[in-house]
Amino acid sequence: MPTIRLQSSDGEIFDTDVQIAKCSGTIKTMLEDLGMDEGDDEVVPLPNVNSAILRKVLQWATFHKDDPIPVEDDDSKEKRTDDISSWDADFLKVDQGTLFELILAANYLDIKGLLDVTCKTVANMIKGKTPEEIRKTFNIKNDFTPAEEEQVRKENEWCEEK
Amino acid sequence: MDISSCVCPINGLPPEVMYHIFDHLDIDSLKSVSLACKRWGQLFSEYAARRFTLSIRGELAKTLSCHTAGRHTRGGEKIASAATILQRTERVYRKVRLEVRSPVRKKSSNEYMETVLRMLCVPPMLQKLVVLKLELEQDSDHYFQQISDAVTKMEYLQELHLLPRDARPLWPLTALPSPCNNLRLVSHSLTTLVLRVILPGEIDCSNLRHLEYDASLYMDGVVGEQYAHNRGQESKWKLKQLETLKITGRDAWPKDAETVQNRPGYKVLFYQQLTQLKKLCLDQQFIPDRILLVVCESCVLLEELYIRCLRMVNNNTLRYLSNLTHLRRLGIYMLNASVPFYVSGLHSLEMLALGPVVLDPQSFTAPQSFKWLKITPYKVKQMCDAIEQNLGQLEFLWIVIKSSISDVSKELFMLVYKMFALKTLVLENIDCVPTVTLAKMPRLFMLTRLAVFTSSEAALKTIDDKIAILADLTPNVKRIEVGLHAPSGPDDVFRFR
Repeated sequence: MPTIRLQSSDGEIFDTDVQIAKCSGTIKTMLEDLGMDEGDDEVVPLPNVNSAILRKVLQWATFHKDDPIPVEDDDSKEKRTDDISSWDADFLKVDQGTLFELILAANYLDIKGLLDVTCKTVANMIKGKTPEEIRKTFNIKNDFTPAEEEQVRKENEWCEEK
Repeated sequence: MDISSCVCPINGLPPEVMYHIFDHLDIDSLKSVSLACKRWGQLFSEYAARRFTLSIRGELAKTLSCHTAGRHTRGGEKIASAATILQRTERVYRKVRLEVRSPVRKKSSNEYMETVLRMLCVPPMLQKLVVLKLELEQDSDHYFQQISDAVTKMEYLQELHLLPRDARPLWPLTALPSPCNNLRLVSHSLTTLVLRVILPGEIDCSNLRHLEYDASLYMDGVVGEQYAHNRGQESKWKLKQLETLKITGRDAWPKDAETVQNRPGYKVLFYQQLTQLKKLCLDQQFIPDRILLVVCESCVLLEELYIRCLRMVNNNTLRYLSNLTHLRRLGIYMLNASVPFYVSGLHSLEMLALGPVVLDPQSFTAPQSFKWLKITPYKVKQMCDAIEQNLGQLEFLWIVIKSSISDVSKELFMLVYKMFALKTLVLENIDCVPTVTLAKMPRLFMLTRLAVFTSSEAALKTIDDKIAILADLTPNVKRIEVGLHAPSGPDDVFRFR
């Protein structure tokens, strides 16, 4: 099985199966466009991902390596969030900081499946909550004046799905 | 970046990622999001302007005033608050839905209505408005001049919908289906036009590609008549460049009423001109087969064709379908005659959706591209014979089960077992299949997706044992999708993949 060497921002090297690394659109493009060959002993630097997060990303990619390529749906309708597999749900039982860093890594590495499932997890943390509950969940400070808040509330009344 | 150590780590996420999260949220949760803090309010404003619609409607204003002021409001005040919002908002909505109220005796109300219309025509709205939905009321022709001017000025407007207020689709504004001459649509940006309530006196939009209209407007007859008088030249309605045409609803006038526009000769002329059509959807009452004939002869670029109900006079008409060599998707849901459905020569066919229509086993030779089939079994034996030859290539099969065929459905299910390439199976009206029939089925290892729909809400509670059996039969399906109302009609059918 051919492997490539990925280097995290803090310098750790991960010898990775090429097939698994290629679930990242970014790495796939790098390998194809830059003509990096699988036999080469070259190192692919990933300056935006630290070793702790890269380890998790690769763990996720290994488990999902045989997944079908997710289809792009351009529907502007709300997407579902109740279809997270139990493995993913367990995998994402992490603190908020780690979850958001995984999102950033998935976004940077262009791994659609991981980006989707992490964003769904965050969406589930927001769904059905009041503004105050949302602030509490994410430790957000309310910087609205009462008048500004009222203005937003009023405008929202004119905002509809259809 | 190390966001873990921030006080508020979620604010380390860039807007595009936040929008991706928002894509998974309903509108009410998002309204909470908008109130969390200024940054989120800003993010929501940007996001909402793309996904949601600014909706200026009377009923909404009424409920608003009940909450806030607790006093009666008159029409003028409702529109007045809309005008205020339009003046003050920082959200540049791309989609606007506006109820156009008829002029009332009170002068101030009319002024507000005109203010709202004027607001839509000036920056910032004018700059970004992409979709405009107008709900028209009786006598709103008072504003047609202004609406005509507004449409011409909106340089980015791509979609215009003229709808009836109160969602009463069969309520034409005029007593007779005659075009409204003071409503003229002249635009270079408009690509999509939906007419549910009136026929404009003029349509001159060089980029118009998609047209949808209500059958009660008799547009095919009216425009056909124009072609007849002008020897095929267009004067008031320029439609020859259309790529998509969708006609829905019923003809509102009784069949025996001899309206000029209803003359089939004019309709034929209409379809003869639409030589650029790629998608045609005739979701209306009856389509005489002479219309199908002229479509097959003239609209030879068609890639999608959907006919709800075809009235056959000549049993040979279906053979002309083979003229449509580009046809990829075909749906025919009812045939008045028991003519076997003839599929031959459609070299590009990918998807076929059929109502209770008999497939002709002799002619059903599908091309290699054919992967998707929806059937409503009727004369099951003949149907099985017809699809047997094409089993190996089908990837998607949707069976609509009618209660009367439940005893013979066994035969059909045995066929499913032989479909090696099948990935998705949809069973509509699963409650009509006896549990014993399911229990005798062989296991379907090749399936990776299974969706079932029930015929009624009550039935939804009675299918647990069937779901359990199906789960056992399909070890490679991760989760069986269960739904109440199966999507029907062309868009839903073809979107469900």
